[in-house]
Amino acid sequence: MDVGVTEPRSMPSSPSFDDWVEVRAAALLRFAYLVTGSQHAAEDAVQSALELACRKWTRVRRADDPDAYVRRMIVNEHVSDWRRARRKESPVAEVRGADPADPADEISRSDAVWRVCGGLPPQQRAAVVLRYYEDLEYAEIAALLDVAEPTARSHVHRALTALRGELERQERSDD
Amino acid sequence: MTDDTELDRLMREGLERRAGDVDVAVPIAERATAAVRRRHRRGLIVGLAAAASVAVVAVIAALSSTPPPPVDPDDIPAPAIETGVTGETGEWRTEYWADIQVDVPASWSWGGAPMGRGEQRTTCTELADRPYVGRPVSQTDACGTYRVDAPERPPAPYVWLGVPLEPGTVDLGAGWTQETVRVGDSTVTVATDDVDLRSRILGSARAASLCPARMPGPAEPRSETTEEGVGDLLFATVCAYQADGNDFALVYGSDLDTGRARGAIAAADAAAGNDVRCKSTSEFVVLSATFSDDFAASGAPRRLYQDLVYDHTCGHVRTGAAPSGGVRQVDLTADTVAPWAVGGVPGILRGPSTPWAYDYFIGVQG
Repeated sequence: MDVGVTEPRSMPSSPSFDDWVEVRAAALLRFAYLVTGSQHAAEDAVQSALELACRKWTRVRRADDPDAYVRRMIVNEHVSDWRRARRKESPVAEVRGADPADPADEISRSDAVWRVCGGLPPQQRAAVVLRYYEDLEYAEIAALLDVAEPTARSHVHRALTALRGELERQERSDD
Repeated sequence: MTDDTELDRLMREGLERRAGDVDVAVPIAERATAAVRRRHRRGLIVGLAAAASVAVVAVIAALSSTPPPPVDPDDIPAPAIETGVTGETGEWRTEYWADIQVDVPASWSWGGAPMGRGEQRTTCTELADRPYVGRPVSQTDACGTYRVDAPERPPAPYVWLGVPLEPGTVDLGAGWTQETVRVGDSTVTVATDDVDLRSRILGSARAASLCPARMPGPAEPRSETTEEGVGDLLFATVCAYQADGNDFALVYGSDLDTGRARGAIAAADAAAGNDVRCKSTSEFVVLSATFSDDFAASGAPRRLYQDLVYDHTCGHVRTGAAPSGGVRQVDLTADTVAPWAVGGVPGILRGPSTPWAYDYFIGVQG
């Protein structure tokens, strides 16, 4: 299981699909995992997005940022799946590697982040991942999610408010 | 209380930590390219079967002498734009946008047009090198800039619908002229070096009569019938809308071949039911079919109407549930759109965010 950060090797300005995906697949899987909360859902979303990108590669590779194109398809695929499944309760994010009895404060707070993300609607969750994991600006997030920039900011603000609430609850229960 | 800076740090580090949990060793890229190759082989088989009904001997000879081409993911052909529309009177057809309609040469394709306002606008069209009718939609990610103050002579003539330009003419050089006229609340722009053609196209621009120019929201479906059932299918139309401010504007309208309309109705009848609800939609299509009522009482209307509403955002088709009344909602699938996603539809509508959408619509753009 890859836990390190891998710097992508430099690619020619117009790479083949195989060259591009060899470099980017791992990062796309990590992104999809954070958006969907599940290994299985992440693999489904990335595979669907890569199938689309492969079929349209002549067009996709001409775009300024093929990664943004594929990330958008991953988000759309996840949001569409969520709507079709009509999940009435919030999706439960997988929590791995966390020992509930571990007193380490940072791990406990990391769990809080994951719990909060697991309770967010898919588009909000996607906005949070794009902001804090992909480090996108709000204008980029808005374009990728096809929403207005204030909506993108609102998604992130609500998530932070939820995280603050979760941390306060956690502190109260620790007392 | 945790301050915002600390929350930002926690969120960033928490996601970074969780990203390490995922197994990235799965052969995801190989699965994707294998799926694409399976789909391409199915497409080749279907295409060859269709050709065989027209020229069997020629196809068999070709198969025996020509090896199958290697599948190159960079060379997947785009679907051909099929014209299955009525309303083409010989060499001309009618295009609809918002509250206007205009006649254009029937052979012209469908493309994009400059979007936005101001001196520099974005244009994302795929078909600029052949005559086309353009609308301010994004057909592709490979976009360019259009300068209102310095328009360039195009490689081929075009008609633009709904591009906010000042009415008047602009000399593009070498005998080419771009002329914009206002019709109702919209504009029609023509660029060509053929004075007569420009005059005829602009002279045909008028208030539209096929579809409502604007809708407050997705139409309600309907399915009228009688004890004796419906009579002949007389004619059908397709009206497509996209979100525009607080309501929806007509972006495309067309007559539809009655055989295709029957196919669409049958496909919707056969589709699986669903009960997905969405808060909003950004694009929907209304297919309206008009039947004769052969047993109407004397003096009563002799028409029966059926409207199917295709919601591209929510992914469903709503039809009237005759004869009991009410509404039936079914899955939006390739089978349900194939009969009517012809003519300008593949080049104008975004469609649903599904893998099959790219075969019938522009599809999601990156």
